[in-house]
Amino acid sequence: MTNRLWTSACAAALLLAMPVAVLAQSRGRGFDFRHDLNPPALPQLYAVVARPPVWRNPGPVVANPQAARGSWWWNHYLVWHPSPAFWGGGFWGELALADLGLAPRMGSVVDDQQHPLATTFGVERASPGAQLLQDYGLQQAVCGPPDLAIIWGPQNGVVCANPTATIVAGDYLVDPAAFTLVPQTR
Amino acid sequence: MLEIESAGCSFEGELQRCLPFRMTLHQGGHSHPIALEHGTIYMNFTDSAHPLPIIDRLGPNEVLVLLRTIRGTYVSARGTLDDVS
Repeated sequence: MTNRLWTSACAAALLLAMPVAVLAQSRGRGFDFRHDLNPPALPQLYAVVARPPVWRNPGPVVANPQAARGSWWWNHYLVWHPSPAFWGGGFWGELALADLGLAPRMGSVVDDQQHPLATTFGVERASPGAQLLQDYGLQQAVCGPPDLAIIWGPQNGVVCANPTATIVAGDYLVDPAAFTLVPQTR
Repeated sequence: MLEIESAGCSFEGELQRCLPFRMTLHQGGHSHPIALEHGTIYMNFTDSAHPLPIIDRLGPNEVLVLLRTIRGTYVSARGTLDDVS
């Protein structure tokens, strides 16, 4: 379900106290978005994924130890949609793509020849991804060293974790509906 | 009127947190898509107030909207939802 929210001058009072470049100021009959009415093409965003892997032979799903029944149980049974402006669609937290160049990195995922496949960042504590890691008893680790669990989330947002008895070293894809991890082979 | 058409929503405790990605300005009988850079919306659909790191608390049916457009326009709104569908 796509969430829809209507907000208007009647429903919400604008606060104009933020440090701003340009403010959408009220001019009696609404707000001034004159700078935004002919938006430019999206700016060049920080390159997160150099070359996403091609997956082969998915393994059996590793059940989420905390799973309840039904799709999207983890999100109060509401479908979660990735938001394209955020790294990993926002699954791992509120790290906007526009800010990635300055964000602290958590290493890079590399291929067998040590070529970078993707850059990774810290998981935000209250994010869906943090809940997923917690459900599986995983702790995020800096990507790069061998023998890590490499977890590919939505929109190629990838994080690494120290392996456990259940989640051994290797690649996994997140199934966001079931909130499970699916082993993959490159 | 500013319409936030699409967002990815999850829960932070009892509060719903949405990351919007499509927005339209309806003004003067015309509709204009507004390109978002990023933003966050917090909504409290519960009967009690809940704390947020960025403000003291968000009361019942309160909404907090923080947006930045591609062109660098900031929108910061806080208010009470008068209709939920």
